Amino acid sequence: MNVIESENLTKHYRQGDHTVHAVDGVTLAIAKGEFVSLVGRSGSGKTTFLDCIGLLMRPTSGRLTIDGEDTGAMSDGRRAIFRSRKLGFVFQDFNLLDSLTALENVLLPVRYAGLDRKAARGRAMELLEELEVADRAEHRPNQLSGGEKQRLAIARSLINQPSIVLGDEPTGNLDSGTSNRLIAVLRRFNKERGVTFVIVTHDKDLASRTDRVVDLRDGKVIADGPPASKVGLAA
Amino acid sequence: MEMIRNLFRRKLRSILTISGIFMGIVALTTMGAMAEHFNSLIGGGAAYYGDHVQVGSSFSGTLGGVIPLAKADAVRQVAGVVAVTPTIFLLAKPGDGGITFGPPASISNSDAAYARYGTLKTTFAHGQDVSETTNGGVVLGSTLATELKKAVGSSIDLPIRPADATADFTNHSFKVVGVLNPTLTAPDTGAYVNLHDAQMLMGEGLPPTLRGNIDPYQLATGLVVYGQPGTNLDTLATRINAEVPGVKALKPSVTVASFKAGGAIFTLITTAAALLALVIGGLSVINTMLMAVTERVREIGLKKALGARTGAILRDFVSESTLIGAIGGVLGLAAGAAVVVMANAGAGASPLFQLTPRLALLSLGFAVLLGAVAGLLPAWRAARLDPVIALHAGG
Repeated sequence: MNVIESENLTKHYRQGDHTVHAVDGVTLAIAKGEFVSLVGRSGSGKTTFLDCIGLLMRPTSGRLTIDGEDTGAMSDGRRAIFRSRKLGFVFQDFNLLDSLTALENVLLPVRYAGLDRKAARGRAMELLEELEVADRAEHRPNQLSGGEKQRLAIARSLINQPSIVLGDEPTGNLDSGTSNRLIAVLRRFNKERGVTFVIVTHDKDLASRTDRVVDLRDGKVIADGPPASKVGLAA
Repeated sequence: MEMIRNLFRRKLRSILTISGIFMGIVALTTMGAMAEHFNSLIGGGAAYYGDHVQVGSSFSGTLGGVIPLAKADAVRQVAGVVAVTPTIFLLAKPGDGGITFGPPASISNSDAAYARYGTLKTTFAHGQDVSETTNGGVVLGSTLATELKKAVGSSIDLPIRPADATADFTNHSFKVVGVLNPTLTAPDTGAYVNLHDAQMLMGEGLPPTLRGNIDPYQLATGLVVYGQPGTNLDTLATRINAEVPGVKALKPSVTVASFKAGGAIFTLITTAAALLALVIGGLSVINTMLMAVTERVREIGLKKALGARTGAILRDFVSESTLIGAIGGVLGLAAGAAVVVMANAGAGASPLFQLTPRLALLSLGFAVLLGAVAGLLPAWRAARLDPVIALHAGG
């Protein structure tokens, strides 16, 4: 069963006198539980495509179905609810709020999803334990290391038990050792919980450990296959 | 908690913004308390002058301000009149050049009919009313009693001798028989004696050349005329003027309107000054919140990415600006109340300010509302941010 289906998806925008075709007719199906990496050079359209499937950006044309719902006709409010309940996000620079404790950061999406906060709190502590940062629950993000911050960000992305987690360069700001441990954690959640991961990355090591690598160039998919085929991983 | 933490991310800026609201609320509280005090006086005056017809002499010039008691009998005959009381009004502190914020201290005769027909009820804190048959007693209004440190049983010389009294100045000793509860209007600065004593004091206040030629016991400075229930008092005043020569009856509606006009202008001036201060405070809140939105663009983008809808972002920022308003309001109200208490203590028995619960609620409510309204524009800008642009913004 596919959780993400894009059909001839485009995203064009004006830049001065010319039109940029950031995403240019991408047709892609991602199955439930898949761990997919989107690779390509800077400006290839991978982040724009991720923003489209994250419902942060409306495509110019084409059809996008997520978790069985056609997203084209969704209002902004509906898209926000959908994001809070069905999608999780992990960003390169963590995007944790320094005004909140680690635990409060993890619980932030619960606020917007209208879910039971007490149950979510228990879930948050379980996630923090699983990610080995439970002892940092009351710390502020600026008191944590990069690896700890990204583990918090992962806990936050999973708190509402989404079916899909989208990552934009999640290992981009981490050293290789921390990065390796983080990839292992993501894979574990993917395998154990059946969460679908779609990760934009330049990290070849991360891409090589995903189920499938989608290579984009100039807004189009130029290759799509398992990492063993070395798709998109050429130097 | 997050709201408070956000507020104190930039402590100095928040403190300065709160100070803006604080100053505005101090101004609103103190100026408002002055207006409230003035309005109490006006309200009391309007209530008093609205429930009867004031009648004076129609003549001007020397002794134009007195009226023969015989006129009271003539006025009693006018249809619609239920009672007539001759009144004497004298200054209790003649020659007192001090500017008072309210009616001057006065001596007048106690009007037993007022208790029955009037609307402004006075009650006794101590003692009782003067006797019409036993002379030498006086009832003091609360402010006058406090100012002169007099209680029931004390003696008081009336009128009060001025510092620059002439050789022929005379006054008489009276025994305080009662002290009124505060009314926040004219009776508070009054000294009430019986008609005979009031006439005696009036006679002694006449120029020496006239004393002996005039019988003060046949005169009053005016008449208080009460109408039968349901009688239109303006119509009654017109009828008195038409039927009784030598008197001038004032229409109560005209007197009340002039009182209220004075009060409205005073309230307008004081509240306009205070509102100006608050507008400046409000602009500083807008500025602070706009800066907060600019600094927190990525946070807004993140919250929107995590599912925050327009309403949630609006709520976040409006709550913060409302909190600024509330903190400024509470502190401003407390400081304003302290100023009022200290100023009233300094003013002794003639307080200038009256901080009512209504004014306190208004000040606080206004501060909170100002904070909320001032936060709307920045909050709207935050809520409308594109999440992708906001997430990729620097900072």
